[in-house]
Amino acid sequence: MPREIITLQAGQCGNSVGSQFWQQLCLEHGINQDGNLEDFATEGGDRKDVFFYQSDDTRYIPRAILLDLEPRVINTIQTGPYKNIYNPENFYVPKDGSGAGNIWAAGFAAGEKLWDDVSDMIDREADGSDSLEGFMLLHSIAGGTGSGLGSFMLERLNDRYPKKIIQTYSVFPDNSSSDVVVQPYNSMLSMRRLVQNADSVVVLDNGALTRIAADRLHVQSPSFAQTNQLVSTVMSASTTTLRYPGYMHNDLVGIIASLIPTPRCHFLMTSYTPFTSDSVEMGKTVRKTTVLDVMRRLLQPKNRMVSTNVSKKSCYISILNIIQGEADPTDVHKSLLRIRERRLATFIPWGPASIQVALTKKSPYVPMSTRVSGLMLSNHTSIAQLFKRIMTQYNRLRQRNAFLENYKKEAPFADGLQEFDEAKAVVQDLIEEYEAAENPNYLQYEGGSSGLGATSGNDAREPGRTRME
Amino acid sequence: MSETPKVVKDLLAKLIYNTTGISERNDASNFKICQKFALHKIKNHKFGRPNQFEVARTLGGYIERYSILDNEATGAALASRLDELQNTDFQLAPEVLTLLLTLADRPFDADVLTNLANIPKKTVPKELTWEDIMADDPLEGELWEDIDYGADSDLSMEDDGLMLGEIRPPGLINDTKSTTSTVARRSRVVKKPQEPDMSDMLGCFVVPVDETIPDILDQRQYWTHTTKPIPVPSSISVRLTDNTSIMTELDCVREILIMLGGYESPLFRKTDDNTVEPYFTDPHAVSIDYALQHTGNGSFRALLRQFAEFGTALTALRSFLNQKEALSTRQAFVGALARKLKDMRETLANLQSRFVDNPETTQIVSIMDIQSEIERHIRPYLTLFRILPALNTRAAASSRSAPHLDALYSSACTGQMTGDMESYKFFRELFFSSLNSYLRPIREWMESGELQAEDSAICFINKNEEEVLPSELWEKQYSIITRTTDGVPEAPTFILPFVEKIFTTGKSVIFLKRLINYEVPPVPSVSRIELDMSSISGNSTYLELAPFEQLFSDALSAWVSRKHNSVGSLLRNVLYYDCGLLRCLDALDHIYLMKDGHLMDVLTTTLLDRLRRDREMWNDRFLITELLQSIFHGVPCIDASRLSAKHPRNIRGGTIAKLATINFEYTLPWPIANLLPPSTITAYHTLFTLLLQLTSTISLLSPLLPKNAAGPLPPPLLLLRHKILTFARTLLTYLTSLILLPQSLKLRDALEQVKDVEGMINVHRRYTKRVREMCLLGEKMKPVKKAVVQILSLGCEVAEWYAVACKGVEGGGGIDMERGQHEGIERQRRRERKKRRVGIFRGVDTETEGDTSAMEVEEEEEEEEEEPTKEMDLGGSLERLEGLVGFVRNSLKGVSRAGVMPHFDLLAEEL
Repeated sequence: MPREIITLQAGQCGNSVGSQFWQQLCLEHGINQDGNLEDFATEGGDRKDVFFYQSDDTRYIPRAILLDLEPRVINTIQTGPYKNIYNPENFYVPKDGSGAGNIWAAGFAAGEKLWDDVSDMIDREADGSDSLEGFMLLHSIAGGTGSGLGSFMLERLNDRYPKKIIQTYSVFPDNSSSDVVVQPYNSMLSMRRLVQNADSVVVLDNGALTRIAADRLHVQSPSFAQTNQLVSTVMSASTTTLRYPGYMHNDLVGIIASLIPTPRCHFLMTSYTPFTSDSVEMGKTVRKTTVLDVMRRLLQPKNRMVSTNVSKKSCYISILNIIQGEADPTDVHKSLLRIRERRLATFIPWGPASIQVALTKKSPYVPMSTRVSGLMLSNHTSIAQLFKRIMTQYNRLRQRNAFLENYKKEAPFADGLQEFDEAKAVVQDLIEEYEAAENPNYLQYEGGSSGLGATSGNDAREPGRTRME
Repeated sequence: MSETPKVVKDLLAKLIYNTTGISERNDASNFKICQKFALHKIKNHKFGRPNQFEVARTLGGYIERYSILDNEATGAALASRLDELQNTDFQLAPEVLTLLLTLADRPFDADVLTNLANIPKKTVPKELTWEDIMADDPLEGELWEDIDYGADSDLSMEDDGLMLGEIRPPGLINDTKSTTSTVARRSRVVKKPQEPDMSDMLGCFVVPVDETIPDILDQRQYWTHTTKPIPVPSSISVRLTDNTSIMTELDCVREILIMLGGYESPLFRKTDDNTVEPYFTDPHAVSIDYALQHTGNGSFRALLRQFAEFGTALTALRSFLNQKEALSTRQAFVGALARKLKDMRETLANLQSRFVDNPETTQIVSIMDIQSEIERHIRPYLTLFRILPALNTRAAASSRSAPHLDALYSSACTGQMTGDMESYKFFRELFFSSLNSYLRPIREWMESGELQAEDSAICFINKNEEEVLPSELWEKQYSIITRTTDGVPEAPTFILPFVEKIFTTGKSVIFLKRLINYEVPPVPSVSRIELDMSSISGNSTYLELAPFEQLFSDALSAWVSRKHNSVGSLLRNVLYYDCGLLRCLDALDHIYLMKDGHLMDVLTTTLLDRLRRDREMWNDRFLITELLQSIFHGVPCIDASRLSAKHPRNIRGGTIAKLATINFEYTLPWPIANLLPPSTITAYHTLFTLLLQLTSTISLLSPLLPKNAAGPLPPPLLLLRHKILTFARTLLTYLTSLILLPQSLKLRDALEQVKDVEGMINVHRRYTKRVREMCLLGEKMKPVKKAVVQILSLGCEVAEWYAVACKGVEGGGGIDMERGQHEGIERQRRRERKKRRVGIFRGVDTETEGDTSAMEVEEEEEEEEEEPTKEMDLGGSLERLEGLVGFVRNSLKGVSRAGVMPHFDLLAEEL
């Protein structure tokens, strides 16, 4: 009885990251470019059926739906080396293929038009699952398709599958330098859906990814392929416990439940160490990795994939370390003791200060250059700084009412720009809640629109929509 | 069983007929009974051949004795016949001679050499010659008539110049004389030998009594009746009285030697308890006082006392020989002792012969000299005499501990340590002579795994005669017999270190016989020597000074190990590789120790769902069996058909308590079940219950937080949920990653190292014990375990509140029932909680709106009937949780500080 996860890839970024992710999974499970198992990978011991299903000819097909409003990236995938693994019926590009033009509203409005087709795809995939656990959305929140169409799908998925978990891997824009001038608008509008309609958001800050790629891989200006490699590594590591049976952390719900104590604070940061790259010679650093080294490095802000300034008050709400490789459990627990003794991690003053650790198997088919590697999924209050930056940039644009014409053309803004204000209120509440969580009297916090633990008062559901189990 | 050979059957039939007069013809039914009885006897009896060297030695002794008794002619006759016998290839000579020796009646008194002449001599028919043939049947007739070659030619005689008659063979001469002698020869051949005279034959059985001998003896033993002292001038003051008899020193020596030989002597007397005392110890019984001419009375009496001590020891040892011993090992001991006493008798005889049989050499007669010489020889006998009372009890005679072996062993060790090499050798020989009969059943047990019925009195291994399940073969079929007082195995002390190995080896053989077509090596002859001095030291004289204890221990160890290692490692390999021990351990890890957490999650979720839906039938054993089999059927190491749930106990209580009633079994293959006995499987059950309780709590508290909320969730509720969830996850991480995983790997490593089955069982037993203790399930950690269960129970309560609250804030949005939301709240528990709660949390609306499933409607109706769950003492629960977690943390730290379980410190810090 596997707990299947359906992956939705929206937009250019989502599909690029997704393509890399599936390549990584294929390598780890010994699936070749045609979807068949390699001869050396027939022993089993893993759970491929979480992310793949087997077709009639026993090929492994990803449970993936690839959506984009313009065909470029999808075409690349369809002509790439792994083109045969996907179900051809799960690609969706509108016939006109004009794209969303980096406008959230265009993407959102396109969603209305194509939803019937897309929902058929999703239903088909869901029907093909024995025990669907939930959905994983890969997208960026800065552009048009990933943010707009992604937001639309979040809303609809939440209505259609209210009991299924929705986790997103959301790429946040680099606030300091961006090609898309309206990205604060897009981000703000997407943020609202991420707050209200997702159960868990893994935040991947493009700025941090670029910095890490530059630092760790010794590349001056990393390409998208290189940053996508980082993202796919993180995604693969964070799903290892789901794909290789172990004692614990075998389901997404369990992982999320331990990381997210309050409904709104569900934005997770990631850290991964050590990063190496086979494609970059300088990336092949020789180093000695012990469990303590790895766990200590994971706590270093420079390894986080979200660029934030750690203030004195900022603290962890929860941490889950996923350790791969030859880790002695006793070393792990001793490292935890040492981290605690030396106060290397500051936790919320109102809750338990506990670092959860999952020791996982690693793929026997992908050689690791290091003895131990680790991924940290953490819920940290400093993530509010990222939202603040978005908010500040949004405010600057919004004060000037700049670049709103393209939005006003689309359906969501046909009746006015209240959508912006509502989104801003939701994000503002979120920021305040994260700040409140740093205080000991968080339990008495009644800020925001409806106090602690409440999401926005606006019910995103629309009447007349069907619900599905 | 093989068919009895026909020749044996025929012989038996003859024997039966000769003994009973019953034959198959005249009384078939009785004959069959007799035949069956006789066959049974011969099959169960071991017909050992007599020791030919012993026979030769005895006959050699006869020859010597004849020479001493001045009957050298008989000795020479015997010797010549023995020589003659030795030159023949008659194979049954030892048996025949043994028979003759057994039948011999006073051979030294009753033999009359002249009777030999009466024994009919076996006449060998003279070899037939042509002369005899022709004498009996002369070659007569025309055929044999002389040919007259000269009849036709007169020239022949003239040519040759010879007469025909001169060249005729003598037999062909037809003369009267020749015929007469031939007839006479024939009559000699045909004539039968004459019957011996029976009167002469009977004479050899009649002992002629010489009436004068007693008188002569009496006269010679003058001291027994001489009452008048014979005054002899002497410098030593000898107290003489009227009834003093002065003896010569030679006579005194003679009397002493006679006494030591076990005969009566006027100088000594034997009491009722077989103690030998000098004649003067009972003054009332003294009629004659003895003295030596040149020795003071005090000195003489002191010497007599000492000889009396020697005599007492020898008498006691001789009387020990007369006892009937039931155990073969004791019989061997008695036999060895008899040989030693025979040696002593020979020593005494040699002393006697020194004074009797050496007329040519001059002998100095000295009691002191005799005393010192005898003392040298008799020292080990005295030691043995001292330890004899302990061995002469009924308990000692029937004890499996074989105290005589222990006593001999320790005496040999003591003798060597004190430098008394005579005693050392004496006891060492006695020890080995007795030891081999003790080791024989042990060897049979180790080689063939069989215990003969007659050996049960010796061996420390007991067979359970009751029917034993194959899965309990190793544990219950055989046991080591232990002393009731201290629980030590009933075996000699020197065997104790090897008892376990010996026991295991035999059991391994039995196991192998069942498992594979294991061929038991052929049972060697009974007389095989297991251990002796040569096997210990290899005939090296330089090892004489090496500690006997060490040498023997090494040799015994090697002897046991030789058999143990081969059988033990073979069985270990069969179980390890062929029977799939590791596969079974993997199966147990998967089923009981959640090695695949995903399967455990599915099991937990389904159980919780059933518990929520049907509180009466949720733990129906058939349904649980079906569930277990469906969950585990795809796991390669598990044979799902072996899974079966047991009848659950029905207890009232919360979810956590109810989950503890789940009890199921994974039936292991019988060879593996012997390695992993039920006592250790219980540990798996206990661990499974704790893990199930933890995963259930996590599962109940894990449902998604509501996204589209219409109202806030109470913050303390969220905090309670988070804290309990963190606690449960931390504890589960500790149990799985720090205990179960590493210990499981260690178990496999240890199993790889051990050499035999007992080692494997012990390794696994230690593993389960250690894991239990480390997982807070030990006896001493009961309060901590109780606190943990209370926290988990609180978690279930919180889950119920949380589910209700979520339903309220979602405003009909519904929650994931598949994740095992547990909303069923038992009436009883509610009432109890109602009493406990102090604060009341209100404001949770349980009314639902929108479309709800039929299940939800049912539950709501039920809740409405029972009173909705509106009361939540969140503040109190938080305090209670803090208290319990604090108690657990402090207890773990306390235990950790005591140094018993350092792991607990890590857990305490993480909680």
